[in-house]
Amino acid sequence: MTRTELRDGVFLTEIEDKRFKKQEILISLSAPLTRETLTQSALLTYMFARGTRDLPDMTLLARRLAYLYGAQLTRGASSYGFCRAVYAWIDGIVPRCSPEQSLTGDYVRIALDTLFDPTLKDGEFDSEWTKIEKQKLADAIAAEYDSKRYYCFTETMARFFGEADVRSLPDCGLISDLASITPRSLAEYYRALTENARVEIVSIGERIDRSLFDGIAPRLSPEISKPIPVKPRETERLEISDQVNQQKITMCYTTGRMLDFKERAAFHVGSALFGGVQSSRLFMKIREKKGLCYSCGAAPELLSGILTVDGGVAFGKEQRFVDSVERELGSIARGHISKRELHEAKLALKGALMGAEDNSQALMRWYYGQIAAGQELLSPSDYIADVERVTADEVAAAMSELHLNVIGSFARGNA
Amino acid sequence: MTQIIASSAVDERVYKTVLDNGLTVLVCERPDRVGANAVLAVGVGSASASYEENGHRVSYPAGTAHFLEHMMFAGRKTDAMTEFARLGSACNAFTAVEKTCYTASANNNILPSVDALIRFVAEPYFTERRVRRERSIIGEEISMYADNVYWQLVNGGMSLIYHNHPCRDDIAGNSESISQITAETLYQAYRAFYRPSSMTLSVSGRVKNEEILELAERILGSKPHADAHTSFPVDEPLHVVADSKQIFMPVGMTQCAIFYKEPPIDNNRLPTEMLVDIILDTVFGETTDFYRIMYDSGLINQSFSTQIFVGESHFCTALTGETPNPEKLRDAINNEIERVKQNGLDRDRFAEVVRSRYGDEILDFDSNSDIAYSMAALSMRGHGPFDVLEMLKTVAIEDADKLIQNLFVRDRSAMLIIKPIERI
Repeated sequence: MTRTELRDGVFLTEIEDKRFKKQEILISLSAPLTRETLTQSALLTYMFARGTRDLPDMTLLARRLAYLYGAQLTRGASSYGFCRAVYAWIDGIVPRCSPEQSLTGDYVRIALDTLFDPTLKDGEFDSEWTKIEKQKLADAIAAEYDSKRYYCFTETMARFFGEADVRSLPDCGLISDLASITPRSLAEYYRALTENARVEIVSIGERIDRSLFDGIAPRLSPEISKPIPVKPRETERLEISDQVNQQKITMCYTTGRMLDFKERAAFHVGSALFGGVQSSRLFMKIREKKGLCYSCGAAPELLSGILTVDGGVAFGKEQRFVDSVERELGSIARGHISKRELHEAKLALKGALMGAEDNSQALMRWYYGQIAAGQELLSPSDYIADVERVTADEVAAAMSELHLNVIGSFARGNA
Repeated sequence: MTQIIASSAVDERVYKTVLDNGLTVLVCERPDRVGANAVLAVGVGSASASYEENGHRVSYPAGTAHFLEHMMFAGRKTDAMTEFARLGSACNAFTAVEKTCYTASANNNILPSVDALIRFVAEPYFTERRVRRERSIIGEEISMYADNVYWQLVNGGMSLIYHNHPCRDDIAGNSESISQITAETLYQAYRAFYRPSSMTLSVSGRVKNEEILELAERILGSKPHADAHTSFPVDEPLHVVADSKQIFMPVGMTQCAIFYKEPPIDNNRLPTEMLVDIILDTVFGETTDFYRIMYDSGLINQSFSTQIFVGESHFCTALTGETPNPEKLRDAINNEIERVKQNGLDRDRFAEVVRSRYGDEILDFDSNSDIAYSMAALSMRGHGPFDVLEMLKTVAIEDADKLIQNLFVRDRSAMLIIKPIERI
């Protein structure tokens, strides 16, 4: 892995790996996450789907991608802590698997044109297209409600961060913001973003010609705030209800402080042991032994010491589920960790990290996640060494700091 | 005897061996990879509810194949989760209409993990106590899928077009059917369906063919050869059950599934399935003017997609997505089908879709998990691992134009609509 600053505010991270048949290229514009620009950034990625100056409508763009052996172009806007990243992620077969040799150049050009040369008319986005894409984004926001488990999770996380914290805002934006966005205001936001945002380019697969990025101007990369911890507070409950067949539960925990490198590995192992792998307490005790749920798990946010648990349980078993989760977490925090379960959690985590080395998409998520969060870049192998050094005492210490701030529940209503 | 099948297009070689008892073993050696993935596929799925034996019909409750899948990891001395945790690898399983797949993903202890996967499937151990506990977990799984909108769209659509075929039933069964399943039911079903001749072991990654063959021979080699049971013939008319149906769920906006029931494909299903997939994309995919017109008119959004469901005695296609006006969308789709039937498929679009599929196939040979699954799935249908790639080289628009004339018949279609219920 190499990381180079091509010019001010423009970074290229390359993972050259000739084993892969898939080339992955992600180009992102990173800026501070703000309430004012959240929905604009989400809508912008919908406008990107309309085409580029070279391929000025969505059909031509789709046909070009199909011609390039079905290359996939994903445009999106995601929040990473206080960073908002607007990105174009393209993947397709590597040149050696096709008679054409220029595929990688084509991929780069499409991703660059998507971000830097979208279809604009007289400096504005097309008004009809803007109207159409606003409706599509509204549809997508409405569809967030379809997966009740995900909806319960996002609503509970929003409560966890609190209204004043921009991290409580949904990735897809807010429907209430859409009406005020005009083709002109969107173009103005777009120009400000492309001129100022930090540019991150990540490529996995074959080496790419760096001159393809010559057109990206240097920029004053904006300062993005580092994540801050969520302070522990009295546990509150969020109740959502509708006509569902199974109750969904999300539990949000915080350590209340940022974790350093060593603590992060211990927190990661602790989260795996608690609910991140098949041998975990949540899987083995709550699902397999008690049969309380079909699916439940725990996921950590390592930097700011946050842990979420989510699952689906039968009606009437919510409290039993919550009590069981709390009991298992308490037991780990008190240091009741057997040598065997610690070894197995580390082994499973190590296996998952090693597996990322075999999968270009997993590698992209691994590296880009660190880049977007402003972390020092570690390869999966580097991180394995940190994981292997973790002791049971360190796990217990990390998990003992967790405090349950919010329990969210999506239950059956009476309608 | 081991056969070596190679493809220069993806630069991979696959070793294929059929043991004396009929078990097929496929190995894709990839020494430059860190780990390996294994799939043990068994030719039993939710559609295998009935079979014929000595002139009698033997039937199992709906959801039996799926229940077996859950129970297979129970184990006599230890369960699979404990065993795989010890090895630092992961196991999983899923049941489909015509097959059940058990999978292992290992980056540590690769051979012991493949060994464990085969052993758990080879040595079933069911107790009434464990069956009771698993029934509760499966009950939660059924509830989870009852809240899954796409699942309801597809299952609901299937039950609108199929009168009797078991593909209309939920793969997991229902609370009543799973309450009838006992340890004895599972043993009977295991003996009936889990026969080496209907199993394929497929492994891709940092393994050697001889090592995998040794494991397969040692654990499954002593199981006697027995022909797989054939499913009891289903009396399924070509007409649909109902033209349309509307249900209500807590969803963000209205969505629909438009199904077309097609005559079952008797032999060599793969080329037809591949061609229908290409036709669907050529007519309705993102590269078409139809897609853009529907998208811009607001009748579809990014959720619009097409699917094919093909099995031994069923074949249907579906177009699904969110729409404010399902009836208008259905009319537009039917009109487009008639237009294409009259004018023929767009030659350029067809060629682009074929290139796109070719790229997809190449990428199916990138990750170990995709390779292991793809090899098993194709083998179970009598095909080699690279057959789709080869077929794509010779696919002809003339065949597609001919095929489409008999597909997507309005009178053999049905539409399921899911409307939002008023939020509480």
